[in-house]
Parts: sequence; C-alpha cells; structure tokens
Amino acid sequence: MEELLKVEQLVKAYGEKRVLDHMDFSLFKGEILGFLGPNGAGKSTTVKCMTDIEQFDEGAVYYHSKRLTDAKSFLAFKKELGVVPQEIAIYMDLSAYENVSFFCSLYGYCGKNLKERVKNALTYTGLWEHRKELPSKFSGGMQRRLNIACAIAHSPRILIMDEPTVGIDPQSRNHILNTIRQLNEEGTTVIYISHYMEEIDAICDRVIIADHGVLIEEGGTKELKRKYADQGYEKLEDIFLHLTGEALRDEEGAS
Amino acid sequence: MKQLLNLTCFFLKRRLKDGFTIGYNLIFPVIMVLLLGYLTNRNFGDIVSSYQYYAIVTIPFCILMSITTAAYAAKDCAYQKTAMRFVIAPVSTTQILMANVLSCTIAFFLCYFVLFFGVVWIYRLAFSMTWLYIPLLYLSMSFLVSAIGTWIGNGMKDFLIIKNIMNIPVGLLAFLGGCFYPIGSMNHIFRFIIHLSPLTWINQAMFRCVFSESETNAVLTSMLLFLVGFVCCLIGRRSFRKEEFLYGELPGYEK
Repeated sequence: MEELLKVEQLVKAYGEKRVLDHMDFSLFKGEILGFLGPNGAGKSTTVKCMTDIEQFDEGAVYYHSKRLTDAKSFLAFKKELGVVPQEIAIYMDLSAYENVSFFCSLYGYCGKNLKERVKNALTYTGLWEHRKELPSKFSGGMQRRLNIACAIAHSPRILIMDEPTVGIDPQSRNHILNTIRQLNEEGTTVIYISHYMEEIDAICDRVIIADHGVLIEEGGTKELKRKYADQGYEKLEDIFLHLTGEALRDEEGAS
Repeated sequence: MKQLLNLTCFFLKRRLKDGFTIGYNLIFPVIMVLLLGYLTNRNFGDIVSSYQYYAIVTIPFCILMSITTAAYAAKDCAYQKTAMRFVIAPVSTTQILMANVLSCTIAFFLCYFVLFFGVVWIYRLAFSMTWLYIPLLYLSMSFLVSAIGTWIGNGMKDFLIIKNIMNIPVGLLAFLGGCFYPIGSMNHIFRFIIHLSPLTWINQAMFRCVFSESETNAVLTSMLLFLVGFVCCLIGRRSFRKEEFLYGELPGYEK
C-alpha cells in the first residue's frame, strides 16, 4: 500500500511535560485509520503538530515521502487536507450555505466550481434542504454535520476527524458514519479519532493506540482481535482497556 | 493575492454588520460632539463654535479609540471558535493579519468619512479644496489603529484586559490632544506638553485644512501615520502566536 503520510518520532513538550514522546505512525492511501487513546494520550497534539497548528520539538512529518519543513510546504499540504475539529467551528450568524461557501473559498475555489462543491458537501451531509437556515437554529447533530460539510467541500485527499460524533443522536451518528464510508469509497483517506469503540470497529481498517504520548499498539482491527483473543480480549474495547489500564484518567487533554 | 482579497471582503462584511463597530465608530462620536459642544457652548468665540471644534477633534480621538475595536476584530475568529479553520486552511499568517488590518481600516474609514460629511453639513463649515486631505488623514489613522489593534488583539487571549488597558493611554493622549478641552490655550506649560500627543499634530493638521486652507501638515502627518502603521504590521506579524489567535473567551459571548 502506498504511504500517504508519515509521522516520524514526533516529540512535543509543554515545559517539563512531554505530551508526545517519539510518536511514530504511517497513514496509507485509501484507508480509514482509527486513532485511539485515553484523555491526555496526545491525539489532539499529534493532529496539531501534523497540521502545523503547533510546532514540534523533534521528529518529522512526511507527505508523499516529502518532508514538510517550512510554512510553504505545509501550505501545499493543507490544500489537500480537511480537518473536522472536535469543537464545532462554524459561524452561527451565517447560513449553512454561507459557512460552507466561505470556508471552501479559502482553498481557492470560486464561481460555478465553488457553488457545485458547496452543493455536493451539503447534499452529502443531508443539509441541502436547510442551506438557508442559521446554524444557531440547528440541532446538535445538524451542527456536527455542517462542521463536516465545511471540511469536505474542497474534496480533501486526507480527512482528519476529531471526535465528530460527540453528543449527537444515533440517527445523526449513523448518517455521519455512512458519509465517512462513502467519502472513503470515493478515495478520501481518513484519520478517525474517537472514544467510541463500536464506531472504530465499524468503519476503520486499521487502528493505532496511543497513551502518554507514545504509540503502544497498531494493526488491523481484525488482526488485533485475533492477536489478543488468546488472552481473553475479544472486543476492541477490551483490548484498549487492557493496553491502557482501567484506572480513571483525571488528566486533561492538551487542547 | 486572491486569498487576501477574499479574506478582506469577508472580514469587512463582518465588521460592517457588527454592532460593536457601528456603535463605537458612528453613534458614540455623534453623541460626544453633541454633548461636549452643548456643554462648552459659551466658552468658544465666533470664529470657531464649540460644535465645530468638537466635530473636528472628536473624530481623531474616536479613531484612536478604535484600537479596541480592531483588537476585538482580531479576536472575532477565536470567540466564534472558527479560528481553527483559518489555521488549517492554505492561508498564510500574513494574509490573515493583513485581511484583518485592511478590513478594519476600510470599515473605520467609511464610518468616519460619513460622519465628517454629516458634521460638515450639520454645522455648515465652509468648504474648501484642502478638505480633500482630511479623508487621507482618516485613512492613515484608521490604518495605524487597525495595525496596532490587530497586533495587540493577537497577542492577548482576554479582550477585557485589552479594553481596560488601552483606555488609559488613549484617554491621556486625547486629553493632551485637546479632545476634551483645548488645554493648549491654558498656559505655556500645557502649550509645550500637548505636543507629546500625536492627536495634537493630527488635530492641528485638521484645523489647518479646514480653517487655514493649508494641506502640508495633513500630508506629512498622513505619511508618517502610514509608515508607523506599516511598522506595526511587521511587528504584529513577527509576534503572532497561533495559540493566542486560536483561543479566547469573552464573557457573554458564548455560542
């Protein structure tokens, strides 16, 4: 499989505290990669370092085997990247259409091409009928879907989704998961971050598990289940708890 | 360039729809002129009426106060929680900053341009060609305060701190600049220290344009203001921190 993105030995510290300790993994073209970890594992920090939101202390990020070293190379990478942030990042005083249209225009699209893309994104997320409405009037699930529409309108090659289904009803969740599957079938490579193991199990081809800023396990979902079946862990959630421990985490995420 | 134009137009629309901008830059100066003009009506002679005096000196003071509005505008994305989308889009930091500076400059300039001609019409100031240099002064002042406001806004997370801190030097400069009372006419000590305030130079240039038909001061002052504004843009770019741009809370502004 073709390696699309490589995160190599990333180290990031806030003062004395190391939140990423030689984080290392690859993303292959066409896959949906599940990124798991308890709070404070370094998931969000990894995404921030990969997307140039935060600078890392050591390590490297490669896109198509080319090292991203400066602002210029990251800008080129960002054109092919879509990010669905954990927090809903939309203007509540602009209509759904205006939101998607503006954020898509930041990727250089305009005119007819832009209109088509906005229509596609809103149709994909089931919001075309509500395009003229203000997001402040939307339900939580609809706002989440609009959050996704803003990230996919420019047809990114890589889509990073940071807990896109938090706090929504099963219908909206199901719609979002179907959208991700459909996007993936059409060629989008996805990094899916979630605490919901059943979602990871349902849509991901491969999983990486991190804890305390270190990658502790990786492999195909089926492969991992086979590997840990002998030890009595058959579900992904059991494997996750076995690897990261059952103790409660009071640690706050870096975000 | 296209991205900068796109961002500037978007930010400008937001500024022009923003009650904060309209309130501080259009309604507040009108109230100031009417109130101060009425209160000091008997203290002024026949050559310059109190209304004419305050119409001229209030506008530069209000433009200077717009540093707070520009700082607020710089934090708008953070308060709306959309800053993340700008950082992950293929848009450079310089483009984001300059779009904010230019949109604020245009918004402030439009407000004060309208206000000045409103004042001219209401108080029947005798028109001369040198007046055409007054918009140049407004434009250069708007550019400078937008640059300073953007620099400060992106350097601090808490807007209320910015607002409280900025009121002190702005009030002092306005006092020295004769915006509340022509203190230069009181004694020779005041006549000397008023020149420490840039508002004195700006107000003098305005008076020369309106009453002496001399534009030299206005042109020189404008050039100097543009130059200092440009330097502030450079400093703002160098001191820009993504963390400050991304996060910010304003009480009462929650989504």
